[in-house]
Amino acid sequence: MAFADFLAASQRRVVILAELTPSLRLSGWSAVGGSAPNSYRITLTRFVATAAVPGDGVYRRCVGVRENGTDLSERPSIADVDANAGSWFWDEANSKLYVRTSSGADPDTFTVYQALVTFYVATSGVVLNRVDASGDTGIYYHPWLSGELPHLTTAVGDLLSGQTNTMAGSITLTNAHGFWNALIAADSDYTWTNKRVRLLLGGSYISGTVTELHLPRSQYVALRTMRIEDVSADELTCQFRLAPLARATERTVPVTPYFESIYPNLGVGVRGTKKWVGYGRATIRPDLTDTSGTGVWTVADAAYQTLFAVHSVSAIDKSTGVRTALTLTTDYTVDLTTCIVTVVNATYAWQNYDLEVDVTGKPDGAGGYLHTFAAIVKDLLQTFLNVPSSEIDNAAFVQAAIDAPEEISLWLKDQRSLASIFSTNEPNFPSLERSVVGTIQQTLAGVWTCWIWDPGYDASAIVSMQKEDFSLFRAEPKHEAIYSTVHVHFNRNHARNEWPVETSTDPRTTYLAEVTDTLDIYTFLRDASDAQRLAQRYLLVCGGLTTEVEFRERGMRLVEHLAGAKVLVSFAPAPAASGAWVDEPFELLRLEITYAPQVVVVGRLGNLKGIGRRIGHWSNDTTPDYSAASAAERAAWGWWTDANGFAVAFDPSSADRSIWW
Amino acid sequence: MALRLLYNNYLLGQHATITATSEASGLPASAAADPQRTRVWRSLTETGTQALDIDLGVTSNVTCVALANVQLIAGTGSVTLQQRGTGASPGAAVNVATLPWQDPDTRVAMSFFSLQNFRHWRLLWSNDLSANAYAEVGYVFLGAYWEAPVNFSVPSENGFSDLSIPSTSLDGQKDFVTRTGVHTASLRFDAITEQQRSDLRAIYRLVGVRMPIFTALDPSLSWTHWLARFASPISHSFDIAPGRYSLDVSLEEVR
Repeated sequence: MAFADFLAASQRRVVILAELTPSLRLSGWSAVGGSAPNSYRITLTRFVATAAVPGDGVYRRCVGVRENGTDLSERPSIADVDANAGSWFWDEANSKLYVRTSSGADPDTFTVYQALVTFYVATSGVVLNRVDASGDTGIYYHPWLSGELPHLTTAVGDLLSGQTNTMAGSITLTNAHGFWNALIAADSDYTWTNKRVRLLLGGSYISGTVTELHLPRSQYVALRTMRIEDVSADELTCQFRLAPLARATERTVPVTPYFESIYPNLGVGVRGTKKWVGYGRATIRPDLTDTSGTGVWTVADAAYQTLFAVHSVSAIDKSTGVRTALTLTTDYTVDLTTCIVTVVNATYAWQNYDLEVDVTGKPDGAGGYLHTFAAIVKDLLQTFLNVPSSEIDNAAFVQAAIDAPEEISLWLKDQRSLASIFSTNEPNFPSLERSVVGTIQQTLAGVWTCWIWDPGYDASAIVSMQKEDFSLFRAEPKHEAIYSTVHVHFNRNHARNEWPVETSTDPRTTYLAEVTDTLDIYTFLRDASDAQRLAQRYLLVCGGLTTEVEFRERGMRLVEHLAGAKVLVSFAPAPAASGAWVDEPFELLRLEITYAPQVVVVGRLGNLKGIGRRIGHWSNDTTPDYSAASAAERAAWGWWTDANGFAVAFDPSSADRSIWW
Repeated sequence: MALRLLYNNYLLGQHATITATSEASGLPASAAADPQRTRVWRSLTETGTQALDIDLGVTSNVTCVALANVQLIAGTGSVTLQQRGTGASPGAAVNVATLPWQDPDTRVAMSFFSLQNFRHWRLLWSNDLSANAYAEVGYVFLGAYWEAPVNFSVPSENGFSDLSIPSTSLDGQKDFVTRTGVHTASLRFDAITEQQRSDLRAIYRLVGVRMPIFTALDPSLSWTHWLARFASPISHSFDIAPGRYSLDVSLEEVR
């Protein structure tokens, strides 16, 4: 029984699960002693007794332990805990939680020790085995999930800006039994703010004529993982207001300000500004942070990084503006660890000179430095949002590094939110996504992933939708947002606030569509050839007509998808030269999913600017000859053609129609 | 046979305790006293028999047992109700009744027997195949039934509803979001006595529309054995003959 079978069935009983994981403050630990001299224990029962539910109460499962802000590692036994600092084990049967703290001290001496415990509710009462086929691991999901469920909207803006993930609304649980009142009270030991709720979809389906098959827990798909913003309850319901995990990208960077308490001899105008954060190579003006001598200049925030190299330092005469290249050791010294440049030659003291440095930022820990889209995004997530490795889709980041090897220079002095750094399209503000036509998002399970946009597709790996899959299908040819010229701004010189520009123009678009509009793209690219290639790609994307389709799905085949995914559509009649679409590639521009009272999938498709079928890629050693290739392979790869443009001589059907991306 | 209502479940008494030969960590024996039928007790996966042991706390008159959502070990065998005496501790087990297999539609198994007056009870799941499997049950009733002295009039309205929701394509193809179907019944009692009226009102006052109760519209027909709720007020009018009432009761199966 697989989720694909569930989706394909014409009769489905949909069950939505909600797994809520608040934290529970723990105090009153006791040393274990004896055979576990390093460990402490506390009572943590698996049931929350309540008059609201007959019997032992509501089951909760310990799924984590947090020491101040650090998650400890789970171990399978008391002995393992005792042998490993910073670990925990929950003896569920005996209601005991064992920990060994990171320092060995009593957990009560820490600021706070918390257990992360999960409560299980659903739209219908159901027992699911935590481990497939293991009846002993059964967990009852209380049928307390009702009313409004989060409405998921994901969208990509016209292929040119980043994806927007929004998850509006809240989940409402029944509370006529009064169970939630004690748990959400302000004076309870539970903390709900910013704790996670995981929503999953599954259920059962009819196979054949009468057999109802129930999906195992492992086949339930993750709809979304969100965080709790607020909770309230009345005598009937308990409502949790949810926010997307991605809202954390509202965090701003850089982080650390300069104040006299740390830097008693700051230069003029430095106070209150932020320390630079930098990746890749750039020319910047460092901050004068010590005027007690000839001048100490801080290049970057050593709390978050070191430097790979300082290539050169120039002194700028304050009165004349003349630049003088300085000599290492003679005129200045560099400390890559503390990120400072110290002027040692009094000739170039701060009173008369500013500094300009050509610097390469954060190292990669492997002898090089972070300089690609994927590497920098990953480091930003882990450094400034404390995203653990377990929440990074490492395979996707590895692939994105291959797909987008362009050199990136990202140096920040003025504060910007991470969301802006990732995906803004505001003038004069570069973004990582627009630098490489990439997308950064969280998966349905809350894992951070990324990819580089490519209008090509693998027909065998994407969903194919037919006319009968839609209950609404309204095609709308789109005659707006056409540009005949693209300017890509790159390699910003921060010291002089200069932007080189690479331009790509298509006069054919000007003549056909009678437009002369220009699109300006601000990037973190360093290389002119990368910028030129980007300009050409954007010109291809935004220089053509596109068709968009508003749709509503009859079933829920797209329920696992997010905006940016590709689908094939067969539909007739359609606004195509042939009058029909047959396996026409589309991109999900917008996807809206509501879950209650039933799952409904609506959204908007875009036909990849009409170029999806025409993109060719360099073939590799495994690619078959054109004559032996399947339709999907012919759609994905390119072949050498003869002088007539035919991959197979005298075969017009093999004519070269590709666009090299 | 007349309508029987099983509304006073001794398992819900404040002194009653339920234990089991084994239980899955998240599905304890105490779940058997939860009228939420989907919340179950489940034994561990083992090769022997499994049992729920019930101590009512006091010696009580018992005339019936009912189980909702029962699962036999490996899908075969039986569940037997046994009494284990009246002492402070349970004694030897003596068979009282072997329950029939639950009705596949209503998912209820019910058994009626002559009055038994004991404190300790056991529900024993056989393991005829010595299978490595588990036993499971949702809601358990143990107590005495109330039987209508004057049965409801026939023919009565009785139905089974499919509340599934269709989703229709442009071309007319349909998908369905399945919802659990429910039995419903509208019963009219004609010319019932003051005592019966009083009994029904007392039962309704106790359980209202809130509390599921086991019902047997016809104790001899297993498809009429439901776990149900009152679905409406019970209403009656004053009739011409004094001390006699016509009373309407609606029932809806608990999903």
